[in-house]
Amino acid sequence: MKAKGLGFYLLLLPFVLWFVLLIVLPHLQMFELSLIKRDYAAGDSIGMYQYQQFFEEPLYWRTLVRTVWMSLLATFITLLVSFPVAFFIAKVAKGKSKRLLLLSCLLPFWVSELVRTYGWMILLRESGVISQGLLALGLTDQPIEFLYNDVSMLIGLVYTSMLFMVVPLVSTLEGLDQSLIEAGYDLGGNGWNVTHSIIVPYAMPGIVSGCIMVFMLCLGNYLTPRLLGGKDSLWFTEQIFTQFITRFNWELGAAFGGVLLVVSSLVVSLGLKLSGQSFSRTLGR
Amino acid sequence: MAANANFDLECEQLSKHFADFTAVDQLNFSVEAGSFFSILGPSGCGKTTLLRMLAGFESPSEGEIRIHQKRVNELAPNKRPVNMVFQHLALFPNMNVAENIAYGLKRRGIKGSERASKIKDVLERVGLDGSQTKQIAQLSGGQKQRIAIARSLVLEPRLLLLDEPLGALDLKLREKMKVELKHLQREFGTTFIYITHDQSEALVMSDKVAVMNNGRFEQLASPQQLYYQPSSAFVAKFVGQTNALSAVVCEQRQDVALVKTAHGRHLIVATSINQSAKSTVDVFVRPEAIGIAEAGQELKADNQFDVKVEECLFDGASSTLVVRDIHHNDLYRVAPGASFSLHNVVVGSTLRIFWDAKQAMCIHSEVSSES
Repeated sequence: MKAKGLGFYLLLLPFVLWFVLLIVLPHLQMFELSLIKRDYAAGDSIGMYQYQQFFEEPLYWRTLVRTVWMSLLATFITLLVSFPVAFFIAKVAKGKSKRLLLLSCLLPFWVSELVRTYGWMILLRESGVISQGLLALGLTDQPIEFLYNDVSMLIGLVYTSMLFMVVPLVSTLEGLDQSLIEAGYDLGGNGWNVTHSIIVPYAMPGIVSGCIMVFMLCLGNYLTPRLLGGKDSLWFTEQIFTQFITRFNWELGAAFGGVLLVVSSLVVSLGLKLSGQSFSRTLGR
Repeated sequence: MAANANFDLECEQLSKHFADFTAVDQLNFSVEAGSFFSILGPSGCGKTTLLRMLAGFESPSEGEIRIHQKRVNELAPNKRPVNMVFQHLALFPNMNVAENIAYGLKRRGIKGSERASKIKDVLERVGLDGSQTKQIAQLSGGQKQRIAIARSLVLEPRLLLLDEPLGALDLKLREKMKVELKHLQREFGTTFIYITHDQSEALVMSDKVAVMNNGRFEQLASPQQLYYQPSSAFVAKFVGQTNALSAVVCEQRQDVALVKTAHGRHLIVATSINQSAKSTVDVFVRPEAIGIAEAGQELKADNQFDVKVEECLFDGASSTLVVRDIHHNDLYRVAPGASFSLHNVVVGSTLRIFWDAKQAMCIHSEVSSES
């Protein structure tokens, strides 16, 4: 085999630096940190104490279960909302309107997530647009608080994640030959049959890659659950934040981080297994 | 047009207008049950639009489509007793062979065991039994073709619409599939409506061919009639190879006319209608109708003159010579066939070509028929 030239290694260098310095090293250090138990009297010791803490305190693991569950729900809703949108962009819209539509999906991302979330707060809060509107129309006799519950939080999560579902879906659906859809109708199928047995199986790689991205984004989101969620809708990232910043308990925070990484990897690989897709076929495209 | 039980498909005044042009223009035709009907035309002639209207993917602007004496204009594609074989076959890539065929059967509510036996039966008939569990990607081009046809025919449609399904195949396979399609049609007895731009496909397979141009049928006839008695200049040029010469009529005696070509050669040609003197006509002579002899030889033929070989396109049995009239400069393509050996023919050699009046024909030339 021909030896790789200097150019090859120079091009590879940024990737290696990024990967080692920003991904491998921090994780290794986090892992090391999570194994330490601080004890000023008896001295530091190494063990699974922090992980034990996580499983023994119901607040911790319940927050994680809830976070995973809500993320899955948000992912599913995002899929339901995005699929028709993506289908329209990929197969119905033509030329200029197609580009405009895709651009309009991108538009919300021109402002920061914080501003986007405040936008929802302006709409949903007690003195907000919707509440005041209903009041003015006489549909209610006192202002309604739409914020600070699971529904408002899910709305925020879905809104933030939509683009990451729409883009992979559009790119797979664009490859779908129109005549496959027509053949589905021609052979006696109705809209449901065609969607269920032709379009969805065809779009599966896009669905799975979109779902993985959206799930990970939701799971790791901090701002949206914090601003739009209620007092009891604690997100696992908030727990990590609390440990690191408020309680200055880096060891437990590191353990939480490790747990989150393992759980999200497990959920993603389970999803891949259930949908019969492989990681390289979906995200590696 | 009276409803007739012998017809599987009748179209009456069928038109399709798009924003700025008319794709299908007031077509009236009917297709006999159990026949192989081809629609032949250049791209953009409206044949695909016509086929899509029959399948239900486009709705007619005017007129009526009747399948088996029933108006189907308002029927959705999935409710019509019609199935289509798509240009690129449109086999579902996420399903194997059996699942592809089962798709339509399931929609009909046919249960598991009956479905399996129907699938086996139809695969046997197309000669692919045993490939039920194969993936679509594992099949060859010809096999895909047969599966696509089986997937439609298993539903026993009144009409099978075929949208140039041979277009994507290579030449050898196409030749083979032509014959195979004709055999399949005869075996199943289903009415096939086949659209193509390839005149040889249409001629080889069909019982009836409609030559379509600018949204209208130029001629609807058997392949033989189309070839030997084209009714318009367009058909004569589009179906098969031909020599076309523009000429002026000098005089006519019964069914034979004396014409003078643009370069001044007088020819005697057959004509089925009365041509007025001085009118411009197109004269058509098929390359294989022209005989070849040695130069200077006097023969018993209505037209004969010496020519010089300009080009020799040797291709075995389908060789052609391009020759030029020595005195009048007209170009002719001649297919020598087996009777004349090309051993000694080189570019520049002189030969005599000849043909009888009845082997040529003249059609009143249309000013706007040039394509």
